[in-house]
Amino acid sequence: MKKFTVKLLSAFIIIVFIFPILYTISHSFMDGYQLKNNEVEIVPEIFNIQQYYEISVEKNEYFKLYINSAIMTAGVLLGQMIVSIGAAYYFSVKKSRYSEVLFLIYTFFMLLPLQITLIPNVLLYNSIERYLGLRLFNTQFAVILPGVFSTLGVFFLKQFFESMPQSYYEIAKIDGASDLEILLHVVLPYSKNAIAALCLLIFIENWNLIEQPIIFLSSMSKMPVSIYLNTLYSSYREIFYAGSVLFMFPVIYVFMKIRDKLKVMVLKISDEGR
Amino acid sequence: MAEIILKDVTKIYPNGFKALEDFSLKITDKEFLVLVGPSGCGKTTILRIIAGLEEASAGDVIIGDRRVNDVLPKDRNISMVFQNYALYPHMNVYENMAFSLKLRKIGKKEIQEKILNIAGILEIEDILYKKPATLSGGQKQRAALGRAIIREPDIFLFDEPLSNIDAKLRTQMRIELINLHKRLGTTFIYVTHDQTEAMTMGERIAVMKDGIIQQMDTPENIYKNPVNIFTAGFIGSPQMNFIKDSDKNIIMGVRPEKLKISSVEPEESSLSLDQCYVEAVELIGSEKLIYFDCNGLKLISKVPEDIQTIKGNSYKLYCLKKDIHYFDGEKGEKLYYEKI
Amino acid sequence: MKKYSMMKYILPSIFGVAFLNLVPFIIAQKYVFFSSGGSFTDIFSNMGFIISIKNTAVFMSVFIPLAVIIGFVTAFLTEYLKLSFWVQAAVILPITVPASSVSGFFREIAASSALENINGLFIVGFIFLWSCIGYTYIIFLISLKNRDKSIEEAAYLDGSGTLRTIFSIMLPLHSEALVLAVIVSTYNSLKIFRMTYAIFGEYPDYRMFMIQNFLHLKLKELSLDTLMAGADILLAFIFILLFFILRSGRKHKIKMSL
Repeated sequence: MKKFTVKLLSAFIIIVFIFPILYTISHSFMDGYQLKNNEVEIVPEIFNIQQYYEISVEKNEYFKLYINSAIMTAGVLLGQMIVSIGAAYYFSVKKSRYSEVLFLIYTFFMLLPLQITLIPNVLLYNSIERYLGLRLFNTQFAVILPGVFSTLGVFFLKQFFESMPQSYYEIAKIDGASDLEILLHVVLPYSKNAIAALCLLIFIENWNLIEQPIIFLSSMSKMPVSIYLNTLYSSYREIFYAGSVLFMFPVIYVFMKIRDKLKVMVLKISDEGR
Repeated sequence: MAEIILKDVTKIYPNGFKALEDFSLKITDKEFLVLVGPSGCGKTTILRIIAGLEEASAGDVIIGDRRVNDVLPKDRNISMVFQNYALYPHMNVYENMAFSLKLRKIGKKEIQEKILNIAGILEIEDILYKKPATLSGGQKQRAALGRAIIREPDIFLFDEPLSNIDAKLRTQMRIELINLHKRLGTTFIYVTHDQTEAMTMGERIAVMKDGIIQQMDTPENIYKNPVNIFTAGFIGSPQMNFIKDSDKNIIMGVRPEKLKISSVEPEESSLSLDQCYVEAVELIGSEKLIYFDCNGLKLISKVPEDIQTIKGNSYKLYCLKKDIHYFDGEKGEKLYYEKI
Repeated sequence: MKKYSMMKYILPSIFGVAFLNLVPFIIAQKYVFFSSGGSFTDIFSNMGFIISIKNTAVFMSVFIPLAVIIGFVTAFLTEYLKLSFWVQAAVILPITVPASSVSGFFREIAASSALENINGLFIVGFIFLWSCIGYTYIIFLISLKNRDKSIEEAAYLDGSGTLRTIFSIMLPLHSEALVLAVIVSTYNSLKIFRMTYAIFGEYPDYRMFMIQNFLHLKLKELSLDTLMAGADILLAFIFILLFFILRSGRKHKIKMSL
């Protein structure tokens, strides 16, 4: 009896959380006729992959914009990794009054909503345009730049670098390694899993960019899929769902792959904490 | 009345591991019983089944004269002291002890009386208002004891309570626990993997291996008369010396203190070994342990500290026939003189 | 000179944070404090601002606790009933899904006649819970997996029932996770703009118009006076909130003498 209730509860939880995703996937296989039907339906009448065909061949600007999303995400990912690793390393090694205050400032910045942090970005770009004649608006660079310096990565990595047993660091120092060598050969290998987790977080965050493109980009051809998809809903609803599925696929896939590494990382944190 | 009977108890874990099978045990009221054995032998499982923290897959658990398989732990009138103390970290010692009484809706004044009384017995008055994180191992253990005692249970369960305490304090606490048992007059069931602890504390010991009681008796009887090789090897420090006789398929066991170094050949017939070279010597206070190598056979002899030997020299060892234990070469059971 | 050798690692980051965020923001304060109007008084008479604040306040005070509580309950059930990997994956999956992808589903839910009478804010709240419970769930799951079970067993033996054990014994011990869950949920609640935009566009119904919407519109039209005033107010609020959360977390740590 108890086992049955547990199974029922599990099924309930799974359905509630997965339902929107399942709905989207199943709708991607419905044809235009069924979709125009404004009722809420779940199972496709005819299993139809025409939408996927349409999206790849006829409406192939989708894929051009897909590349936009990819470029912007990869740009932020790469940039943030380099910048954050350095900063986190600094914070984890240097323990002075000054660095602690600085870190507090970083933490504070991390929690600010985009609406606030975008304001100085816009003002900066305006000034650059005015005084240096460099037009940053409507470039992908304008979108990537703020993301690179987000302090979330610094916060996350600093905590993890600090959890590394001090002895690893000391042995390396005795062996005569320089700071850079320690970073590359001791700290980074140790933090493999945390870095993977951070990459996942950054990936999720930037794949789903909405605020920045609206503010910084004006031409549709530069937009990422996250924005484009919304316009599709009203105009070409059939391929909207196919586009949705294609859009969420990479994130879900990467998440599934990294899942094991995440488990290892969690265990590592709990072991060091004892 | 707190006699405990386990009757044909079987415990199978969800992953398929069978900790106990048709296990039976009878614990007399008010006795101090020690369950001792290597890790995984089932001793903690038995303790937890008696406590009600785990359910028996089959069999009966009887406390007093009622079957308690379906009775909740809190209604079994049992207290438990855990290996890692399990004190509530966000409460001080006083509140830790008061918790169970508050749940029983006992009045503030009465709670205070009881706590101060027990604090006096355990000498923890000065740490009553401190939190567990600020206490030493020994203090935490006493606090945990206090929490267990205050409920005035019929049965106390101890799950390796002294393993996280340093050696010197451990000896002292052993004595305190024995005195506590006499003072409280309740049943104590004590689980440990340390055979010294078992020998010094228990009125009766149950030596366990793989879910089966190998021998249950007073410490003295087990020491003098182990019924099989496992018990003989497990109880006694340093371990009993084992000498294999492959022709007759028997194994002889000799306690280190019964293995003597000969200068003169004794007259009664006895076991003697030639060409034993001294490998190492350990001084343990008033006694010495001498490690011998006799043609590949490693033996230990325990002698008074004034006996002198020279490392690398060869000596003759002997042992009186009455001090030899004989065990079956295959099954490890004790054999008696008549069979040899 | 050795003292400063580590500096090079943080220099790019500091430059970025300073020039992209700090410096422009400080300079922009001139719009607030030196403007002709008294922007603070102006903004409080702005209807849109007042509504957005009211909505945000309601939203945060209702749905942040809900996100934390439901996350905890689900993690607790997962741990105690040993729910399968599929359950865990299902709860966590929504945090990876982009807002735009599931906007189709939520649009149809919102448009369906059954929900016409329900306050739009609660629809947004529900979407918020769906997409963010994964975070609090993970936080509590990790905290639960690392706990010392024998303390609960001791409480059980002492006579404490399940509910009492949860409230008197377990929750105090998970206070760090609790603080983290509140912080993360607060952070996510401010990002709800993405979901709202994906489903209702830039001009949502007045009942779900929140402060992010307000600031976003002001930024687009570049009315810097109101924008900066609003931003400053939000900033002060976040600062105070963070201060209180961290302080209560610290007080609790002292209570446990950890």
